[in-house]
Amino acid sequence: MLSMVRTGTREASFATVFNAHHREAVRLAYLLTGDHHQAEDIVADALTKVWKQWEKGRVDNVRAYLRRAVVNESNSKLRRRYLERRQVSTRSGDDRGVRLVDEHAADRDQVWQALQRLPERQRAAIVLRYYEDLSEADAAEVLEVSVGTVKSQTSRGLDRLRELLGADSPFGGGS
Amino acid sequence: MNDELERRLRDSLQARAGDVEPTPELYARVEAHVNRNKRWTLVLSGVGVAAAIAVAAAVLPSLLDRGTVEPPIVGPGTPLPTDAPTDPTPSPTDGPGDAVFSEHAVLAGDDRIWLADVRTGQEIAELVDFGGPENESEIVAVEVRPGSTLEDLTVVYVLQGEGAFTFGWIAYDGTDATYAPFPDTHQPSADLVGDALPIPAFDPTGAHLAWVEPLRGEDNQAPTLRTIGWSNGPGTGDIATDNAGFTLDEIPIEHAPSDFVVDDWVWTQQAEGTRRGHLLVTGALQAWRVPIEEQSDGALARGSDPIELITVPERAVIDLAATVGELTYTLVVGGSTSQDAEDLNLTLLISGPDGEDEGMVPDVSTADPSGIWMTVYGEGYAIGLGGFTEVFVPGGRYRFDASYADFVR
Repeated sequence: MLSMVRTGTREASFATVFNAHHREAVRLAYLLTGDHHQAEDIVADALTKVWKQWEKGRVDNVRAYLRRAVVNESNSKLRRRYLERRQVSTRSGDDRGVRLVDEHAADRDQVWQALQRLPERQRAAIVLRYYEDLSEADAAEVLEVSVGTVKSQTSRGLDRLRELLGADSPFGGGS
Repeated sequence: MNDELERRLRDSLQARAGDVEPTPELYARVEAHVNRNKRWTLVLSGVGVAAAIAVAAAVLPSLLDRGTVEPPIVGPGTPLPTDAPTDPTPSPTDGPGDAVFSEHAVLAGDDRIWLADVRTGQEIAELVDFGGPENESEIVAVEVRPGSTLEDLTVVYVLQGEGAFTFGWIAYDGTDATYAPFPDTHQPSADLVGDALPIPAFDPTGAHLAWVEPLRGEDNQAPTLRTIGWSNGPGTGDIATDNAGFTLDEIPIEHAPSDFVVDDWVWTQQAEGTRRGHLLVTGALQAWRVPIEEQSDGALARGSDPIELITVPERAVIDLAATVGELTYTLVVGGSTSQDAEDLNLTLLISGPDGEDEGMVPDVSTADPSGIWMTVYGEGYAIGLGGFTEVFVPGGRYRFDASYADFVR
């Protein structure tokens, strides 16, 4: 009975952790993969790892630990991307109910489409820098690369986005 | 200019992220994962043999001097220690693929493939850059043809994109590199099941290339070993050696969708123009030894012995490699020392005629074991996953920002 109570307590506590962090984790994974289902798969795996480590008291900063786990899980998919990924990534931007109600929405959609055409690592660097607002040093730690690599990946990614948006943007070139 | 692009980027990312809501089932899925991993650990743990393995690893004489002093990890381009032993005793060879170790590797990542000096990290030459606004493919494997040198290098690459895999090859003459896709007849099938990666391997002579294909719509059928000949490029024009396929009946298909990777290929016997050997194939955390023969006309045939399932007690095998007549490298996860599923307990077992030792491995405690790969050449090996690769050569351990690598051999 005692063990049952303890287990229940742990699960209830992790439920609190889950509620505090799962949404942002799924959103990050979605931005990294462009696929909602894959994002949930990644976060399920990442949260599983967090849960086990958290139970042992090894996780001081859940958000940072989870962020790193999500990025690692996304990277580990590099060799295992689903064949349907191509189909998903080339869908029109309103496939999830987004309505292009004005030019700003159209522009966001163009940027999103362009972002999905970047190589994974450039995209990861950009998402961490411009969505998570991480410093270059923090992004490097999450990606397990050097700061110089984060700089070059971000720079190459921005260059490529500029090229893509120059060709596609209704606003005629990345400003 | 950048500020405006960055503003649009932030705006787009925030808007997209704001549209995403996790499904209500996510918590239940995490719970199920935790429970499943506990069961998985339990299966791997087993009983009885772990102690024997631990004792054997502790008392057997070291085959290699790795692990006694861990050299520093250095990044590419960083000056390297020069006092490392670099003149080990040559081992017996069988063909061009068995030198003591290689100082050079072909690395891939970020849409690029390049040739580098392992110890200095210096990029010797860029072999190909697929990057560009229109590129939607990514490199998922590289394989160096045995017998290659810095002045005559041949590399096979695998691209994933457009909903399929494409094989291509690079020829580098020490100055210029050219690349081209394989002819359609030598490409992997477009009907591969799930996300199975057709990662190929050369035979030690460089005359054959092989990969495994589990095909979509063929439930309960065995995967196929496909082979092509190689003569100045993919294909020989000889029907005896081109496009031979063999059904691997003993390998169950129920693991698909899964990668079936041809990890290595060794010839163990040679007589009267024929060769006998085997391929090492891994997939779904299992490994098989597939006997194969090369007949006197160069044609391949399935060996007469049955396919052998390779197991390591209490561990799951995720990659295999072998050097002829010498050492077998087995990369495993699990074991009784870990009661924790995400503590992968990644271990490299190096076994040979004199016993078994453990090699150094990268810290991949948070990784998906199915994404880890290894390649071995002589006394050097590389292990990686996702965005990094660690290369281990005698006296040195080096980390590269590369997704895949193979030694110049």
